[in-house]
Amino acid sequence: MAGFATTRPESGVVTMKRSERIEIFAHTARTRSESFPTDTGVLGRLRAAGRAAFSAAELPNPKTESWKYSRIGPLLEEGLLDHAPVGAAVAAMPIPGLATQSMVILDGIPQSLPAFTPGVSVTSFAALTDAEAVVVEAHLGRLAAAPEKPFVALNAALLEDGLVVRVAPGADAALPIELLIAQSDSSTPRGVHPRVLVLVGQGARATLIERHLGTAMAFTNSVVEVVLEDGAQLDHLRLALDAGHGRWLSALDVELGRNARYNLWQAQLGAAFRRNEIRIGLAGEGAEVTVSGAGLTRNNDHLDNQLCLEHRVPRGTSKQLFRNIAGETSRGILNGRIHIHRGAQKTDAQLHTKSLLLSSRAEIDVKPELEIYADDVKCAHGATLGQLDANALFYLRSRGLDANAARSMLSFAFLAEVVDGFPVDAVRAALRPALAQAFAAPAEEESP
Amino acid sequence: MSKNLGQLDGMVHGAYKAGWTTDIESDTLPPGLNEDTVRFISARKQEPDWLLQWRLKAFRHWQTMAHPQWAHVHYPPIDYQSISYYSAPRRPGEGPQSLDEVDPELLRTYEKLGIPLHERAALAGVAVDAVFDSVSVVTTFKDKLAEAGVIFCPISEAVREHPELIRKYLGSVVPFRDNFFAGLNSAVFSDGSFVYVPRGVRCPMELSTYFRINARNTGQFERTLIVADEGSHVSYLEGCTAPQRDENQLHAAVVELIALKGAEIKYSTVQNWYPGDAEGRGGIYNFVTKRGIAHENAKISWTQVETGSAITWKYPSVILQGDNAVGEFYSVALTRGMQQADTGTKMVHVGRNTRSTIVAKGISAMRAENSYRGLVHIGAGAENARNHTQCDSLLLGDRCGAHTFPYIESRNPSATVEHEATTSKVSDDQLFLCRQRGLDPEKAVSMIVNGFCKQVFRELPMEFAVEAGKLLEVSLEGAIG
Amino acid sequence: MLKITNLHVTVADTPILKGLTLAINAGEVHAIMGPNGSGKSTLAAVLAGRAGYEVTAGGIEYLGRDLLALTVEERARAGVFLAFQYPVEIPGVSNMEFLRASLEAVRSHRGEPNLSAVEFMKLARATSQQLQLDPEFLKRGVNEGFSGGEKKRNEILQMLLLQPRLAVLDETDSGLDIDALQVVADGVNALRSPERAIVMVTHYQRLLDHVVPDYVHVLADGRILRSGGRELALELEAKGYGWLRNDAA
Repeated sequence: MAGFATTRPESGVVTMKRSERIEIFAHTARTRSESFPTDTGVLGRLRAAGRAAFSAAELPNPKTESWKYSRIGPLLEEGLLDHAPVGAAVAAMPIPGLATQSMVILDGIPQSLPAFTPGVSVTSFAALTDAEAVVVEAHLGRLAAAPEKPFVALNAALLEDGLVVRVAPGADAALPIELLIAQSDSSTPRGVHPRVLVLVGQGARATLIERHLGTAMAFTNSVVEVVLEDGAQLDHLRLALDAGHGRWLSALDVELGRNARYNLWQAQLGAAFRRNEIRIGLAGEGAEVTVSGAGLTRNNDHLDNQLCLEHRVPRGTSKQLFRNIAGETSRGILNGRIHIHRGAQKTDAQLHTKSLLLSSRAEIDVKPELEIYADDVKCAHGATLGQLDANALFYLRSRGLDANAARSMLSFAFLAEVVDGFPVDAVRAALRPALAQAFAAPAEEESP
Repeated sequence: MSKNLGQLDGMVHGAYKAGWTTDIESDTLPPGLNEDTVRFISARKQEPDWLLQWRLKAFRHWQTMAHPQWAHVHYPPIDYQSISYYSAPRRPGEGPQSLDEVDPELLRTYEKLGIPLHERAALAGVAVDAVFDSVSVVTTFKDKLAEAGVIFCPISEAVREHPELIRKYLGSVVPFRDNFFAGLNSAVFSDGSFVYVPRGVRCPMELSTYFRINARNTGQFERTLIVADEGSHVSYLEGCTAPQRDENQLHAAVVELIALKGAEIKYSTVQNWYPGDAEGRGGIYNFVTKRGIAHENAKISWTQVETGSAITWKYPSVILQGDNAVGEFYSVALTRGMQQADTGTKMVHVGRNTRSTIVAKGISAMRAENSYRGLVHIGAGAENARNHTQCDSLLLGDRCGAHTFPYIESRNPSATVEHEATTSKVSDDQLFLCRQRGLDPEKAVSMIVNGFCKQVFRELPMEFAVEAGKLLEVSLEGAIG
Repeated sequence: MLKITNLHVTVADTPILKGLTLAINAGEVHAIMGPNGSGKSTLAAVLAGRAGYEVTAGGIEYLGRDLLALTVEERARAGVFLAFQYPVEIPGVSNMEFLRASLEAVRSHRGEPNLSAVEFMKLARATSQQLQLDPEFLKRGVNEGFSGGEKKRNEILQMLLLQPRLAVLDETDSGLDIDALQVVADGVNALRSPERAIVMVTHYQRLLDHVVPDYVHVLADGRILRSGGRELALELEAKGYGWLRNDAA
């Protein structure tokens, strides 16, 4: 029996043993990493560390607890470690009415950068001066440390180039910074490894809108590290509204200094594979975190959010709120861990999640966890799985809506509880129709 | 941290009250485990060949299994060759035909534990099966139970007397492939209790088993099997103690419950195995697999009060197989000193309109680690299934840990699952109110902790509820400066 | 009975009481009034021995003993009772269980025999009826889900059962409607006796209409600003606290 809980047979026809496929994947990755130069500069050192860590790391196997509900299969398919020429940028990129300053990583390659408003600077790793490199390397790979994280290690080992975003101390970056991690429509399978480090200086404020775009059969293995110095504040919106064939594995590692504030907002659709590994560390007293997530999976999509809130010091607060809906044969997963370290007294940490299943062939797996080593704390979580309110359904139908329309409306309202709290007007305005459309779309024909 | 709570650590040094040994002649197998060990046990029990073959199959499978790593507990690797797998009080011939033939020293052991085995002195209305090390030494009130058609006897006896029932149900809920410890138990189980309640019968009294580990270097691997036939009802109590020893001893039991259509089984445990000393020396490793299957309209209710053992690893579970089946799990787990507990339940909803309730209260003190681990699984066919889970942790002091690991899996859109977890401490205000009313801090803490557990104690049969409350008090008591 | 001399108390390094002196004899009822933040509740807390209140100077003598040297429960057993302004909830511990444990602790300290279960039940029932509390209330968790008024009546219930020598009522009248106030006042009056002293800490004088004090003290800025009889409370009611402060200045 694989760990705690029920086991079930693997679904689908497997022509090769999974362990063999994992071995082939690891071998291919190691071989590929050897073609990347590791001799000089920030990039070289990061690749060298990644390559070493990847060789030492073990890829998740069916007994790996943190991968209990995620099918690794979609990541192991052929071509997903390959390099491919950069394709044409996908259309329909801008969010209507949203003024931003944007950086684009297309098919894994940072594109040329525009000018940014005062207080904000963006540089590629390759373009860093020696003096800048010292500052950057104090953080790069520190939060998303590669050892024992095979895919973070892989990201470093196969890195083409990455970006550093810096918000100067005290700066108030009113214009949102947009980060587009995009896959072109190119039909060539490929793997890309975007990497971004965000440094928000003391007392600075900024808004980061991170968008994952593209539906092609490609593996996007991104790593984003965010450092908030004392008193800094970042509103971080993450939008992943393209379902499709993409395999998206995203590590997000955040560290907060004293009295810093970090608000994360996620709106996501599932995809062939979508998994977020989010670790938020409260390293300074008085730090505050909010996380709000809305997720919708349909058809055979997969959406997995793995969150870990690390309360390392006293007087931190964290509030997390999630809404997830799974339809057809999709799977929605949420693992929300709250870890209160010894000595982190007066911590206030809460997590609340509600989920809705729309089909008896879909599955929702929720694992809220508390790991607590301090006694003077307020910690709680609540998780519910349930149905739409029967009274509300009846009410809508009595006003003439058919059952499906009524159900759609209420399901959407269920997500809207989170989405309506998003901080940027234009994003909020764009999200509602995008989610409503994803929701209302007819189910895809199932492949035999 | 306030001065008041600084003293809490000092308050939970309660001494273990069942830590003495009994000087009794026993037949003990030398340490070691191989197929011959399995054959020896089976032969000693005069078992039929099919059971020996089952044990051997289990043993061979167990050898291919890995020790589980996922629980939030830490201990050095166990050397399974250093354990003795059989220890029985020596007795003439076939075993005692009546209490008069039982070694008086042994009877005194049970009296000391507060479990008089003489029927005239026994708790009114409670039949007792006493298991000493590897074997069942006596079962009381057998005749009275027989009148109602209830079978209550050592499982080794049931193998001989009721082979058809054993063959049908043994391993049917917990197969030997289930997990590492269940595999080991299936190979080497020495005794345990068997209960069969016939169709429509309400068992006329509470049934109870008391387990006692006495011999050194022995493991205890008992196996309990309870079959409640259609429409029947039984309440079963289980208590455990062990002497105080410096080395760790292994207890790997398996309990299987079968509640057929409309039957009800209530299973209550007060587990007080020796927990080890304050530095973590000695104590029982309590690695137990308990699972029941509830058929249509049946109900299985687990209630446990876990205060003992160096390490507790157990998840009394219910497979809600039939429509309208009900599963309940009420648990209090108290850890102190260096104790570690990883305990909870699995509610596997298969049938329609199945309902489950989980109430788990964890109390952690000193340097102990206490984890709730629970699974609620809603299968695709479990229309309108319902679960409600409440997990509360209480931390006494800032060097212990309290953790919650719930797994919620749902595949049915009409199911409703509600899970809540909280963490609290004994607040300075509560302690101050109690002390202002004249209570000493120790009494105040014990009262507040008892209050925290009330929802669970309420589920225990009366005698057990009182015992559980006292046990908690004893476990929390200690010097305060 | 109680002699407070030049008492200085700080809370988190902030001085709250700054030289308070007060003597209370057996048989007397004292009212301590004063504006918010004057230190009234601090005085009550220090008498009961709550943690977090540091006595930096002065002392308290109670029945000839150094009160400050006693632990919280020793004070309670010696007859000091504090009726809390905000009684805390203790989930799962029934009121009955709590009252009994408390009564046993106090009685055994006094050398009195424990009451039998039946005697205790009778006493508890009678006392709760006296306070117009449904006896069912005894089965509920201590203050768990009680209304504000019920919590206050529960404090008085405990006081009547424990029969303290010195009862300190901290804002017991706040949050009570007029009927409940009467019930509480009747309870307090029932406790008046030549052996006992009662200290009522209150912001308003309306409780004093029902429990007539022998002495009224005005506490402001950590000291007793003025002492007098009943009429002082009425004067305060009419003129407010500002008047006194200006007067004193």
